[in-house]
Amino acid sequence: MELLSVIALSTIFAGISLGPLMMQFSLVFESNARVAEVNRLMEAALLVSRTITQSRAFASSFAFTGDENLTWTDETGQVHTILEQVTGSITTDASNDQTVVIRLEGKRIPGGATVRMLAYPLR
Amino acid sequence: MVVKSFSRGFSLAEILVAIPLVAVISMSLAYFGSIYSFSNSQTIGRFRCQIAVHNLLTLVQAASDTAALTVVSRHIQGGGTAGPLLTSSPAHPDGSSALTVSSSVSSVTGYGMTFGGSPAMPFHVAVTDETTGARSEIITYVTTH
Repeated sequence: MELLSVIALSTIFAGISLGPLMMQFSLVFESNARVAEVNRLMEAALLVSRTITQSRAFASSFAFTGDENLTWTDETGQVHTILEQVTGSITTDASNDQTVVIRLEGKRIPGGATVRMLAYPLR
Repeated sequence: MVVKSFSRGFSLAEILVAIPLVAVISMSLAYFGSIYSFSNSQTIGRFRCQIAVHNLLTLVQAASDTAALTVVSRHIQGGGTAGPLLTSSPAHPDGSSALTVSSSVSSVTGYGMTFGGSPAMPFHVAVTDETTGARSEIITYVTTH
């Protein structure tokens, strides 16, 4: 009887203490992955923004290929892969003084993450 | 050589001490985990604010003939120089929860500069993520204010 009480108590305490702990760890892992994903998208968007601004590249020189790669074709025709596992769009926004809207949607975490950054080509 | 035997069972007293100890350690770890998660959400909030500020400055740069405050106000709910950033605005980093913008042109005498003959004034733009309290602010100079 004593043994049964101890086992019951142990199970209850373990459930109370370890359950939230496991849940907390999963939340930490998930939020870490989200920070890394947003950072990855932000850096890529900044790179595209800088490329458009500094090299005066056209929005149309960027493409999202079928295997979810963001590529850039430079003036010599060479194709550069900027980011993997991403979809989105890079479009000129006529209603906002021809700014370029870079919208990237990452695919590495459940639910994805979106970053929208603007660029302005100095022509 | 002394060999200790671990084959005996635990006594009730040992278990009654060990269980609360495990519970306290677990709750401590959970507490630190929650702090870590909060720190991560603040990091994302800061990223969002930085992108929003960058985007607003890009819009100001693109609309070179329009006053900076006028450009920013087009993307603020209600059209003022401060308030929630419209989630539909291209300046919003992800279109999710609203960010708060505040913008101003400083008219303090002596702080103005001149670029190419045009008087330039300090232009402040700040974006705050109300959920996490993260904030990003940039001060630059504009000739159209």
